[in-house]
Amino acid sequence: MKKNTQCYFTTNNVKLIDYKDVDILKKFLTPHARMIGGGRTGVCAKHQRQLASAIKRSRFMGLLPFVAK
Amino acid sequence: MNHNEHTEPRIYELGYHLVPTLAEEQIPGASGAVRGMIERISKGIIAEELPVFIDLAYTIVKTVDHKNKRFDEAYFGWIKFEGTPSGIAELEEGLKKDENVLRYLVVKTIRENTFIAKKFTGAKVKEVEEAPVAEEAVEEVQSEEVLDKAIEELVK
Repeated sequence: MKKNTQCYFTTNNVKLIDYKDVDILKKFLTPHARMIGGGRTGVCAKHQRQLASAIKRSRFMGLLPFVAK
Repeated sequence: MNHNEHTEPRIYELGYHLVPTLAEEQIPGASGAVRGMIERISKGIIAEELPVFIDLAYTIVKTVDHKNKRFDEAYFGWIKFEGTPSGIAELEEGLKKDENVLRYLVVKTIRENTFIAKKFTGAKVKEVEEAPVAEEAVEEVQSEEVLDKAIEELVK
């Protein structure tokens, strides 16, 4: 089967990834709340950088955990 | 490079947590105080969401009168506004002094709505993955049929 190489944010025409979009950000985290690399999720480099900032902002604001057991 | 560009108004967003010790009735007053600080430095408020009670992902510690207080819940609200860098510094000074504000974050953003959770409810990454695969399979079948016909015509 062919691997998905389409960026989720590009296909949905997202201009800026919001740190308050917890449900969307959670899709790009492992069960341990670690970020998943763009190579695994198919997110393009531009949006992966935005995504990383959004997740870090969300963690600071207590919307996402830094670590999960 | 134009050095004046940093003084131009930009779109900012302030996200803030209010302490959970406040009663429901005190929330409009506390969020009104935050809104007042913004109105003093801003040209216009673009969008706003009033504080809602949420469970925090981890315990946030705030030092009040040399004592550490731990909070597992908070009221989270946000305001999007137009402002200048000097105004933001002033706003942060005010927020640090406000005892009702547990934590805050000011970020640069865009005028358009960036909150997509409601727009794409039920949209999953997996669905996006599966759709193109199905289309490709159909195309392959079609191309095989076309090839067969072409070969038959050649043989004739």
